[in-house]
Amino acid sequence: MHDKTLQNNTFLSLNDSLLLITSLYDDKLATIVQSKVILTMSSSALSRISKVSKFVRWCLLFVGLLHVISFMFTLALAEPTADGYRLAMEVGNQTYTVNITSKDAKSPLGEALAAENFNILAILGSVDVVFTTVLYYFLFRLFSLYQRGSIFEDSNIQCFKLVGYSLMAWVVADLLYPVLVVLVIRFTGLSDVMPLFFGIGSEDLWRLLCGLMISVIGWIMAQARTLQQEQELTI
Amino acid sequence: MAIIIELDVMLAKRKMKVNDLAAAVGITPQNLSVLKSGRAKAIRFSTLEAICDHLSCQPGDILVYQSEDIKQGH
Repeated sequence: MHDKTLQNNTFLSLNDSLLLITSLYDDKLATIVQSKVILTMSSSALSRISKVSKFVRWCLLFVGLLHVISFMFTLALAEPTADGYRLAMEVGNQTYTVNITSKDAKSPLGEALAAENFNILAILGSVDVVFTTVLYYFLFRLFSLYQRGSIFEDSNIQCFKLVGYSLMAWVVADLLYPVLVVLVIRFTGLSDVMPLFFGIGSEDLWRLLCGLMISVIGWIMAQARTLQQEQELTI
Repeated sequence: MAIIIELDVMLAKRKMKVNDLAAAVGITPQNLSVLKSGRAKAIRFSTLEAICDHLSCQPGDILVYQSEDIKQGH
């Protein structure tokens, strides 16, 4: 593999210097050289991946921050209404209002909590925000690795798997969290009439399927990585 | 691993340097280093043939099987 690479790569000076270093028979360095040489195989494609990943990374950072900030903003300033929240802002003589409503598997619990004067946004919305932030973080890490030129490394595979596991954990949390909320409210005596809720929506099923698929892809990538390592160590 | 590479022994017998053998066989010194240190997963027949040719030896002089029990001293 190295010989082929040496014939057509554009980083001959880099390889020459690396060859000189590894001629000192340092095995660890030899492994590092192998990965460096592979990287030189398609430098233009890598450069493009790096540029696109940088853009995606900034997008993820922007959307992630927007998500968290808008949640905090709504939590702090919005007023509860019969079917959600209303955010009113006065700019000059004009008043702008934003109505936030949500209909999903947790809606009946939300209505019951609102009837008991609980802050449903803080109680039910925080789970979604936590998992969304975790997902954004893993995706941000993944694209940071892509930007640095690390594509099929173990750290990429780990990020991939963590994204999948987070999606699946989100579904599990969505199933168990409403039950937990009701049990906590009942046992602490905050409300005696709160019924138990247990529901799964189509969004949860879709999330579960996506998480499963991403985890399987991560597992296949791990197998491919093992094959690649074996190929690298065939002399 | 139960297969031991005794390339350094043969190199010492032939008074040859790793770099010289690598150049003669047509593989990179780091690949030969990987082979010598026993980290290689597989060796191509063509590589083995070239090494044997340049060191004037048999494959058995380079590759030695040693049972795991013997290695552990049982």
